[in-house]
Amino acid sequence: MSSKSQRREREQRARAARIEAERAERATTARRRRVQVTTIAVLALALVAVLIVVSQVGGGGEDSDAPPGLFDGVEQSGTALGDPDAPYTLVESGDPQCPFCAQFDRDVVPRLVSDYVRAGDLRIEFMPLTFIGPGSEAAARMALAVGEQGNFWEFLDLLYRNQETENSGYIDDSFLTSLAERIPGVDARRALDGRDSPRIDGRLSRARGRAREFGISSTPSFLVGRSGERPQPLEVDSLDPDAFAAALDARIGGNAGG
Amino acid sequence: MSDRALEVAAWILVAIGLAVAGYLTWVHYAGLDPVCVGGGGGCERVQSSTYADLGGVPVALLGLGGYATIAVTLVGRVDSARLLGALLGLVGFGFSAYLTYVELAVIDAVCQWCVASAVTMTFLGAVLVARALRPTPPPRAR
Repeated sequence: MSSKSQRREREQRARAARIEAERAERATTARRRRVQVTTIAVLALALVAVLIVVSQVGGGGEDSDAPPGLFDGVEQSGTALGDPDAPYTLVESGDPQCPFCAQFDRDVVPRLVSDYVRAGDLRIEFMPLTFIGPGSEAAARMALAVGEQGNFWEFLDLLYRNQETENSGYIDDSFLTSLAERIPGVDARRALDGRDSPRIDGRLSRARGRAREFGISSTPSFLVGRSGERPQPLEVDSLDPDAFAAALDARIGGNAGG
Repeated sequence: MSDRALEVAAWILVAIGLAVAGYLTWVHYAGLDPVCVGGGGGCERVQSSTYADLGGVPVALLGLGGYATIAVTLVGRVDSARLLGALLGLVGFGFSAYLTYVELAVIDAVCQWCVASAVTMTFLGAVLVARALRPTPPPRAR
């Protein structure tokens, strides 16, 4: 009897020890699992950071120079591009940090310059808006100051072709100077010194006032009309050059050039 | 939620993700604009932005590859497959969150297909992490 009881007790102890060992093993496995998943999460965070960096670098680095000669021989006056006597004027309101303005600059402006501006049919005026962030105003001021030297459009084009993520702090004096120095004949130092002048203040202020007058709240937005007359909004569904040209033709139609 | 239920949920989410990413990849290479419910051109604006490519590879194609690789990890019956699945799910979730931020804050346009993929990837990431936290069940006896 005593022997049986001792055996049962030994078995119970052994079973309890086994259960305890299994529980300990499960706990160890779960702990190891949590460590592995935490490691995976940290690794994932690092990979996402790499992807974000690649995404941002890819956004601005592929096409940093203007097509050669894009604006050569085209008359410029301040923010206006083209013959002052052109029968029609297109007003583009844009923010230097706006990615769609950059797309318009890359894709549509070359087409407009070659097909409309060089033909004397159209004058383009840029209306600088600066609502995205402080970098927008710094860039717009520098563009206007470079514009006083007759190269506004070259500078604007370089700005857009070297655009990075908005409000990421990339627009600083060094960036703006490096762009200005790439334009032959531009005195970058003079532009830097002149960007805070009352003249530039006035131009920015007039652009803001005009945007309010026309109810412009996003960029790029367009106005078009006969030169010297009040322009009307030009609604475009796409920044594809063909689609934009079609929308423009619908407004200036066969009257272009005369 | 049982391991089996998590696996079924993962397969359903992978199928949705493959369909969405597959459609966006197809319209990209076919030169079409994605059909965007409600119009407004949001999908077109997002898909034609500089953020639609990553190092020259369309993001839609990367998504398609990601969902396909996750599907392969679901077939695997080893621990490392579950961990790899969780890694891909988390990377997919993190990058989708970043792209959604870019849509709202930078591009100022929303592509419904991208949002659909981001939501799918969010749930998929959660399911794959939950699955990875569990021990891999032993192979079924024949």
